[in-house]
Amino acid sequence: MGLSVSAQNIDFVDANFYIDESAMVRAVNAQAANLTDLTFHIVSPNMPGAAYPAVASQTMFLQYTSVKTAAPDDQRQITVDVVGGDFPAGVSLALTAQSAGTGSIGSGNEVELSSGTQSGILVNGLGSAYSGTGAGQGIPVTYALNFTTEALDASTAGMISLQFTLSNN
Amino acid sequence: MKAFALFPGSAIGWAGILWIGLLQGSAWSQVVVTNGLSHFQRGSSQEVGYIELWNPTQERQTALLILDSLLGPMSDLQIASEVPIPPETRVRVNYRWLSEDSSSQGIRIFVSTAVQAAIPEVQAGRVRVQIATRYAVDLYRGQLCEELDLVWSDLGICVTNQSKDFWAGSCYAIRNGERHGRSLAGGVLRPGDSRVWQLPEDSEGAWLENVDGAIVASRRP
Repeated sequence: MGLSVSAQNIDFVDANFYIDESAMVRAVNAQAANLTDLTFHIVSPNMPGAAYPAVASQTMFLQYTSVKTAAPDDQRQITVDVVGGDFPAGVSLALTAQSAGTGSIGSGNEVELSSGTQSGILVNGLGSAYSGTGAGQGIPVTYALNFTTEALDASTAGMISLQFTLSNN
Repeated sequence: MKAFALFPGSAIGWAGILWIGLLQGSAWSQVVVTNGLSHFQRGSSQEVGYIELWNPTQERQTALLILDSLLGPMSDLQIASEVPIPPETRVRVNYRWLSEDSSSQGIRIFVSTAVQAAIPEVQAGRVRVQIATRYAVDLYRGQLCEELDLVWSDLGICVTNQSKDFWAGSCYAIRNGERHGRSLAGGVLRPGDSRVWQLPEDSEGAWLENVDGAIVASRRP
């Protein structure tokens, strides 16, 4: 009776997966072109006695890619800060964000910035998610300029610098 | 294949930022942070670490790093304030805690990409809003605690860190007496920090787990 011996050589190959803990964000317009500034013009009414008409709101998009890691960097947020400039007398700026994208997209908030309020959380609870890169994709952020005629002062113009920051929650 | 370039930290600080004049943050943060937005180092020694930045573009970029305090003095951390990054290259920006300190410390590093831009003029009656983006990388040094004070309210559960150490972890809902689903909230609580975290109304309670796996749980009243 013969003895059969079967031998098998196995080469173990380590497969190393390296996943970047990505944090990427950019501001774009409705055509998905990079956006650096928005201008609002407060125009006088065309009828004596009328209040200044409201200024049309404008919308930009925050396109992002976020791959979270373990706690505590497992949830992220996007905040907005006024880092320069002054609001003209009687003017405030309301920013409204709606969460958008694929994955753990968190939730959007409204922030009203003025000479008294200089920062706020626009989006929180962002996990691993991405927005897409095309036109109309990203977190829509609508800017609404708020004012009352009796509080305006035409001698004041405004340059306001906003920073959108992607951070750990 | 990844290409790394090492840049030793320097203590240039704010002055190093200011001399570049018209360099300012870009609306498109071309530079990307690839090793997380929160770094935790335990212990009190002169530890080192790094922030990994990637320039995915075809052009040379300059990353600007600005320090802000999360807890304690900023002077205890050494890191470069301006880092050139070749196209499609990753760099490690080293940082070093300069002195031994047993107290809890936290520093936020704002990372943005420099661009050349002229300062625009603004006419009367107009409001011009400049837009830029950046990242915040939080560096913590200290010990982790396990205990938290938990108080239920109509808004959710109020979580307070009464210890002298950090708490870092995540909050989950409890269902069927066990941790359920994905993390609902979390992050780092500095000594004295208090936050209110919302939980689904049908959850039985809150399950808070720190990064070491220590659990504090509370059933809904």
